[in-house]
Amino acid sequence: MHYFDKGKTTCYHAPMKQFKLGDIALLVISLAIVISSFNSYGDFTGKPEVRVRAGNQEWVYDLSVDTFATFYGPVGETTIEIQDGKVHVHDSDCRNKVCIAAGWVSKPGDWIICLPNDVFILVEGTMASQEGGVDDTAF
Amino acid sequence: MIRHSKSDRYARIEFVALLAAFALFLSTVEYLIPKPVPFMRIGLANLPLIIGLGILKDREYIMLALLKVLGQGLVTGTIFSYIIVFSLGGTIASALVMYVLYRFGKRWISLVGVSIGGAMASNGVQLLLSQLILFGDAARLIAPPFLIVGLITSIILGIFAQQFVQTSTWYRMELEKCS
Repeated sequence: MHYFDKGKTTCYHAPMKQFKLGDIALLVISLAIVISSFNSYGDFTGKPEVRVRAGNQEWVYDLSVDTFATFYGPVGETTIEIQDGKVHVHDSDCRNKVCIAAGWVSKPGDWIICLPNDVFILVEGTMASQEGGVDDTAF
Repeated sequence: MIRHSKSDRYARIEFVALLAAFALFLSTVEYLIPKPVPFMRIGLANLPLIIGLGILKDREYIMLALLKVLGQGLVTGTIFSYIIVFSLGGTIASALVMYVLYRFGKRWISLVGVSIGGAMASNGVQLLLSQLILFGDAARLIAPPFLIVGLITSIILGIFAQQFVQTSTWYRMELEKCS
């Protein structure tokens, strides 16, 4: 199979030197792959979404698109506003207005809740919104 | 030790069986070592595959790879579970890549590079499989630790294999037999 030797009838070939050029090339390529795989963590916080639950229904909004949205609950209307990558409750028919007082939120994991009107607003990263809590336990 | 001629098929089969037994033993050792995630492997059982590159014929090499999967499945008790798919996919990918790297790149690549290539192929295929079967997109999250561990252990294994091949008289004798 190997005819690497000079003059000998066996297939014994001279010992290979350790760390040749190709090794270093392979190492660099592998390192590049490993480092680029870290980008998957960037996605986790990179593109946050707003998940809103009102009653039994859920809506998902892109946090980077400015918008108003109104949800209907047991005591009336709750309007949220998304602006400059942040979200807050603009107006609500509830009594204490705690949700409005909560102000603006923007980070994945931040949330606002309006208990009287049963509206729940949660900022999530892209991955978290797709997988729910499963990936945490899988780790 | 009796010298077998190359036509002696039984001696060759015995030789493959010896390397397969070596892989079985190393699978056991690997299984003993505690790991944070069950499928995160050190890849000890790949050592016979790396060392066998220079002294096995193509068919024998394929046989050794399949025996390694079988042995690993037996030791870890996963032979009839979906985990065997990961083992099989990873081993076939790494065996193929290591074979190609060794066969065509021997002049520029030592066994260290061969080992790195094999580990990356194995891990890549296993990540792909985990994306398809287990985790979906979340597989990307386990990629970095998985790949880093694979890279480090493959370098260590490669250096060991390279040292072994350079210094072992047993290996030299096998090389002389396979002419």
